[in-house]
Amino acid sequence: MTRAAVIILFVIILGVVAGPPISGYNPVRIDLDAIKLSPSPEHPFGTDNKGRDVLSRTLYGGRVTLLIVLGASGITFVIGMLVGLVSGYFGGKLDLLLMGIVDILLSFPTLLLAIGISILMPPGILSVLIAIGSVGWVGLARLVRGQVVVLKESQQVEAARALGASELRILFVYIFPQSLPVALVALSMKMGGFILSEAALSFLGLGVQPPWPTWGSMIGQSRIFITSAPWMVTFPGLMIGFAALSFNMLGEGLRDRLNIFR
Amino acid sequence: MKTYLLKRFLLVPVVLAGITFLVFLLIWALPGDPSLALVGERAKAATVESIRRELGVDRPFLEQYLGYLKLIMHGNLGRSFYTNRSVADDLIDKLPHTLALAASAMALAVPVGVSLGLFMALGKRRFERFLNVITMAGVSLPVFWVGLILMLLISVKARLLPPSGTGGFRYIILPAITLAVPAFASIARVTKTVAMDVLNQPFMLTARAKGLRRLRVVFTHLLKNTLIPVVTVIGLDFGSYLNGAVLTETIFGWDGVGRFAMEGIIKRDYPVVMGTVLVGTLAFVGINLIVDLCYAVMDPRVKKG
Repeated sequence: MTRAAVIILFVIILGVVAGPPISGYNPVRIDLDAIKLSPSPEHPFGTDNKGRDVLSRTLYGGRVTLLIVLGASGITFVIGMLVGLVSGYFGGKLDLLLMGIVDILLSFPTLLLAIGISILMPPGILSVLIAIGSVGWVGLARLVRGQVVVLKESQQVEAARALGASELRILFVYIFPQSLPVALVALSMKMGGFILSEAALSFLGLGVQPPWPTWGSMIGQSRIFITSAPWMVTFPGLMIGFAALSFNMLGEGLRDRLNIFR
Repeated sequence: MKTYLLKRFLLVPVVLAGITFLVFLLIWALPGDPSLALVGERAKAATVESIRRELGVDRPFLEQYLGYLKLIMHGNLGRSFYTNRSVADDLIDKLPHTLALAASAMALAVPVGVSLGLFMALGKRRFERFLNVITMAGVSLPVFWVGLILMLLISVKARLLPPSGTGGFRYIILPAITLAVPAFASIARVTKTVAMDVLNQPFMLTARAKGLRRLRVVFTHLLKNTLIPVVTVIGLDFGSYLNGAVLTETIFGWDGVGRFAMEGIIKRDYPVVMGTVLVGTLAFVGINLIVDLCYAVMDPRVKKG
């Protein structure tokens, strides 16, 4: 399963990075002589209502999506790790406050929060990144905290403390590396969700703005053509599904192999 | 158990106050002005100013927040900036639609998900692998895309059901299926994991060893012990079902709270946003309280705790 996921992901990344020149069409060039052509050898995914090649747009749209997944993972990792480490290690009132915030955010439809954030900012890659990243860290922080609470009582940490290691040294040299595997696996299981969140925001018109395509916005803008040109909706959606599926399979595969959460 | 539940009840207002504060802070901290959205960017400064005063968005942050809390205490949720209708009245109109949709989706997702999960835990390995991918696809496909494809195949091509709108049984089928797809998939996955754990418990071996039939073991010993964690996860996942409801209602033109929230956010209709957020949070907290109560009913061990 993990192998299949890695292969699919590799193909998607390869297609997305190298694709637009290969497919031979400019993803934003309008060609009014080729409106809503159904899939053919020339246009394997058909063309859209402005005569743009859907394959090129799909490949190009993937770039934005993968970029956002990477960025959102970065934000999630940094915030989630920091909050989890601090909350778990220092405990006390700070822990109570931070985990209170986590509990509140967990009980909240995150999509609405992300929609709210991306509406209040000028739409673009940055707003989507902030919207997804600022709600994504919550689960990770909770998980890391749980790890740290256990790790800080370990004999290794006790020995380090007895040898006179400073709090910061204990936190970053002893506890951080040991909580890393759990955090990375949790992060990889979240990436599929990031793809879906980005797609949902773009679908609603709150993501990267036209004429540049993303998978979600392609579906959002093609909704009205679903009867006359269903391929405009079908292919970007399949790409979202495949990308999210392979990230999810990868996460689960990693989890089972490293025997984490068991 | 009683003191625990009491604590949970007392926590509800705290969570609600926390949520309203966060949303207020968000609205206040980020740029954007509802009065400009209302009258347009090119309106006269005096017009904008009078509207700001009328909406009360010119007052200082803390005053606005405390004013809103006072309003809630009286069971009032303010009026929409756009329609000037009472938000509470609108919510009362729309809530039954959302509840009907959610209930139908869960009525589909829970039985299908639980039986599929049990089947995956008990069945042959080859089947399990196949179903593993299927259920993972269920949680990986974007809800709005599933909705559109269903609409295309069943309403447009086959002409079996109306494509969108709010109404009776015929209208609710497609949105309910759409909403049920990710739900049944995640329920099946959780059920499978939990059931495999339960299968490894010693009491399962005992039950078989003392000569109980396999079917009997599955239905009494396995099902009972599996359902409790599964119900918890359903409750905790409720937030993601709300996400799905927002998208599903938007696509199918279903006149529920999710679409109401979506419209409120897009138009910067703050009273509507706050009202729908409050209802969503209350629903989440309420569902999880009910889940905890279910514990006590299903698991005699909890009562002692």
